[in-house]
Amino acid sequence: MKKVTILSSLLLTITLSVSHAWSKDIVQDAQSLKGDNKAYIRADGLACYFCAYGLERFFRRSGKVAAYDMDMKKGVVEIIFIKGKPLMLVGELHQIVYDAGYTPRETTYELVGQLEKSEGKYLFHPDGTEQSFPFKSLSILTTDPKKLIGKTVTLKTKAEKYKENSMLLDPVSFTAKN
Amino acid sequence: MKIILLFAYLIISCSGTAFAHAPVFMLAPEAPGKGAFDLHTSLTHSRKGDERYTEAELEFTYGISRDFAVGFEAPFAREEHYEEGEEQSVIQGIANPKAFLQWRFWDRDTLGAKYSSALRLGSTVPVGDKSVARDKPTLMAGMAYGMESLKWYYFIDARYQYNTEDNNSKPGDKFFADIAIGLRPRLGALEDTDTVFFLELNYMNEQYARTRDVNNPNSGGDFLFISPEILISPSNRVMIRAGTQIPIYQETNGVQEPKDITYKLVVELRY
Repeated sequence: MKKVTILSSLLLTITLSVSHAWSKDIVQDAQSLKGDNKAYIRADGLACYFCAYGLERFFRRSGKVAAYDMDMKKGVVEIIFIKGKPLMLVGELHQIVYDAGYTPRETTYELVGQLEKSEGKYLFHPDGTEQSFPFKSLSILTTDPKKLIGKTVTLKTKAEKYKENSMLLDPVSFTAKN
Repeated sequence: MKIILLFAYLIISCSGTAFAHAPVFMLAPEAPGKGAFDLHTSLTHSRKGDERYTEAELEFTYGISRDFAVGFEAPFAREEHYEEGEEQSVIQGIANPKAFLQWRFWDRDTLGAKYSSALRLGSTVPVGDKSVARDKPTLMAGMAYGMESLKWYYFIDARYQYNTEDNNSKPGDKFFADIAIGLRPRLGALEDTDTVFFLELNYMNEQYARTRDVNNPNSGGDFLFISPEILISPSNRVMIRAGTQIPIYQETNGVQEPKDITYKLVVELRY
């Protein structure tokens, strides 16, 4: 009886010791390392945080992710990239979700950076990276893209795999920063 | 050579515990994911008449790929016997280690839910302390199907445990069929403590034990248990599972002591 009481007390204590945080930092000094660039990937099959630890393990191993969060009801994993490190591409994110045991679906990015033009094509260069990505379409823009060149903008975009080491951006919105 | 043979044996063989939100006393069709390494520590205590049996196990599980996992369990067993007017006798030692291979051969993912089926093959490796371990392996094959979602869980499984003959003696083979339903009362945030309650219904058929090809008339039978359980995850790397298996129906052959309650506690860490 005594054993049962001790066990029950232990379980109750653990149950009640609820902590709360909006995102989980997975690198030391994450607050100063968090960049502005984020990715959101919908992963079907996510049903509990413990089961989804497999994702966190891959994020840690990549060395590119400062923090992440999950909205289980929407099935969306939010990834906050480390400042100055290359972004994880949509193909890498899909592979991680698959290897962890889930099914990757839509992936979107929220990126801060500049519009560039190279060889007649518009590209987006996220701040703090050496990467530039082509657009699938710029039809969302109501202004001439030339006017945005060199300005810092926040880009919300869908992304799909493109060639070996790139991704194709399909913008949802552009917001110019001051 | 012995090491190679042992390793090969481990890879092709298996046993009985579980992963993540798996019920405590049955199989679940889960896989920890590619490269995942889980460490389980479990404590099982059961009684039957004048006997008490306690087993502490350390289990390692490794995800070879998204859907394949291998595991190895090292159990420590302690048997206590009480007889009226006599002193308590105790035997203890390292029991036969168990190894398993689990393959999730089918899964379907939807928003907030996963449906899957898995096959598990396992075996004990007869290298344990002979005071508590058999000299020949015990083989197990099982299949499980289940659904995990943000609110509800359900699992069903069927397992067969085959005991090989050991010095003209063969314990009865066992067939298990289990069903479980689980409920998460509240879905929290990423670093909140997560709690799920399970209720299992476990059926076991045990065949006659045999000695020199003769059935022991006082062995085997049909058993039905109900098992309430709680699964608590204080962080997304730690899972604590505790359950009690209560016999509700026992149709034993001949004269036998009835089975009593079994308690099991599992602590699981994920790396």
